[in-house]
Amino acid sequence: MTRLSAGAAPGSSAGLHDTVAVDPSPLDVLGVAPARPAGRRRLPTVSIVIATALLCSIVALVVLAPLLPGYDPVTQHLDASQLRPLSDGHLLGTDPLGRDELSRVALAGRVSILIALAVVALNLVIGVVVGLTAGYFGGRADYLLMGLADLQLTIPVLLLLIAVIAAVGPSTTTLVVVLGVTFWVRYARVTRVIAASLREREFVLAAVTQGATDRWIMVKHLLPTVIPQLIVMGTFDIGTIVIAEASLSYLGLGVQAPTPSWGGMIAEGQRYLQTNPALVLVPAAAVFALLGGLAILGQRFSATYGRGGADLVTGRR
Amino acid sequence: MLSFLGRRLVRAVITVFGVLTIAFVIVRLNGSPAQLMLGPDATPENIVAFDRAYGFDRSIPEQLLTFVGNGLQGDFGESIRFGRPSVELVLDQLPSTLLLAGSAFLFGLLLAFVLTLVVELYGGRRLRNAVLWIGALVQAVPTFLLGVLAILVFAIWLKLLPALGADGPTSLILPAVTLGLFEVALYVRLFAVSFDEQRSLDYVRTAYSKGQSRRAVVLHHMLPNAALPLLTVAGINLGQLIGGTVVIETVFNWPGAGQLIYQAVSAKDYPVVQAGVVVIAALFVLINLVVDLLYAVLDPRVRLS
Repeated sequence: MTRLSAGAAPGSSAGLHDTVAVDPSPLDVLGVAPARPAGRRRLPTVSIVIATALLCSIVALVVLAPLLPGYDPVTQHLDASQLRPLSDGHLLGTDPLGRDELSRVALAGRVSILIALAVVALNLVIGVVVGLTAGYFGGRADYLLMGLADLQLTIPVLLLLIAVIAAVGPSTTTLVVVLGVTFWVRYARVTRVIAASLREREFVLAAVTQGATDRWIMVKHLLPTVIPQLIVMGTFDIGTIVIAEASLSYLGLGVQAPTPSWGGMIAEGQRYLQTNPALVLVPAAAVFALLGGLAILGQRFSATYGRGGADLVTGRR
Repeated sequence: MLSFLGRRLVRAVITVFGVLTIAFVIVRLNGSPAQLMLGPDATPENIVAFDRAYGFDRSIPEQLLTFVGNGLQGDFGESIRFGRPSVELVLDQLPSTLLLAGSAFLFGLLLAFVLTLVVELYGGRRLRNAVLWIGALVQAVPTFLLGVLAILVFAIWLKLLPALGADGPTSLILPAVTLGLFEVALYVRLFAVSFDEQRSLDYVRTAYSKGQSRRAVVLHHMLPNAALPLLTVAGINLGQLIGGTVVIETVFNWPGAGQLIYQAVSAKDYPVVQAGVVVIAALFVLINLVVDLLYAVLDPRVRLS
């Protein structure tokens, strides 16, 4: 597992191929893009355009929908239940309780994205603190903290999440805290690798000779070098957290009614799948726009920077 | 080798104790286990009686010791809902979950293996990218959503397969393939990373420069090395798969252990929850141990270090 964790991959697949161009046939499958001359910039590829369009549509949905005249995700109109999409006044129809689907999908997206941001932020903080401590001090602290991180790979995470959330009582706060203290391990690993590799470098030793405290070195010298990579990881992890939140909401353990959530809407729509599939398809399209957009960007990113494999194994399902 | 296995064994034992402790803590998270299990209608007298009957009135360390001791013997108390030993309930449902997880796992691994070999042997960069892109997109969709959409398309629109429940072998297809698709995507991408790593190593270049065919290089030289790292991931992932079927079991109303635990959670039947979590975690630990053993057998670097 360790060899697949992030931080090991960069640069490993580059190099060499340009020098062994003896037999072109096996080499064209190497899948390594030839280095572009410096200074020449690539036009955005089709995939990036699609991904941007998907993400922009979601952002537009969650930001702009509340400004529309008919926005009302809460009020029930039992005389206008299950209107089909493109009905009068309800662009995406209404749910079984007559609430406007467009408003509900938009609010659900807003809630989902805010939860994901909060969770990723919490993960980042925990991961950085643990990773810096383990990487900088090494030794026993390292052994203990990374052992703890390893332990998480050997237990059924989702099952425990379900049990814990149910015992504490499901709510948005529970969700954020529980997910926030669960998915920090990858950040800790990356931070630890970087911190450990920098510990003996001259700029750190220079700081030590000038009497810098451990905390000063960690915050002023190590942290800035870790932040950029963690930000990138965190951005793509928003998708992971959205999936976890949607799955838990589908089970009824995530965002609680009356606040709409994509998972909850799909769970309810499943009951009317035979008669009115739009109840599932509308939130499904929103989920796909957000997660598909992020995935395409992520794939593009790892294809360009060779960060593959780092984020493939997560506890989600 | 022995010290490697010794370390792994120690870790397995620690994990089992860790999970037992977590299962112990879960019930006490909100302060009063009696309140949790009896619900808001319980009178104070009920709670006191319940606490006495189940030993919740003793000190926490004492309770933990008893719980761990009983747990190691497979005793988690009787299910509140069914009045049967909770471990039995879990073990009854476990084969059904193993069937689902196992078929999904095999389906995923085999298909990914075939796809990877086809790409490596006959494909060009375009095919390879296409496979990776599809993999990335499949992984981006939550499994439960994939399941609901599969029901819509194959059960409702095309009327090809049963949508829910477990009657007959055909009802296994939809849930297993839904779960398996995620696995295919995962392993295809891991294989790709793994082959990428091998490709830039000297031995591959040497093999090509000796004039060996692409087939020989891929099958005889690269494959064993590229497949090895997957073993660890597959082990971890099989464990997560068994613990993670709960969502897909709910989607397809598949009568497995995940579904049982989920229903026990909703019904506040905590002995069953505890038994389920511990049994599945133990299974998980066992799988990881076997994988470690396999790894030691297959990879001389582990054996000799």
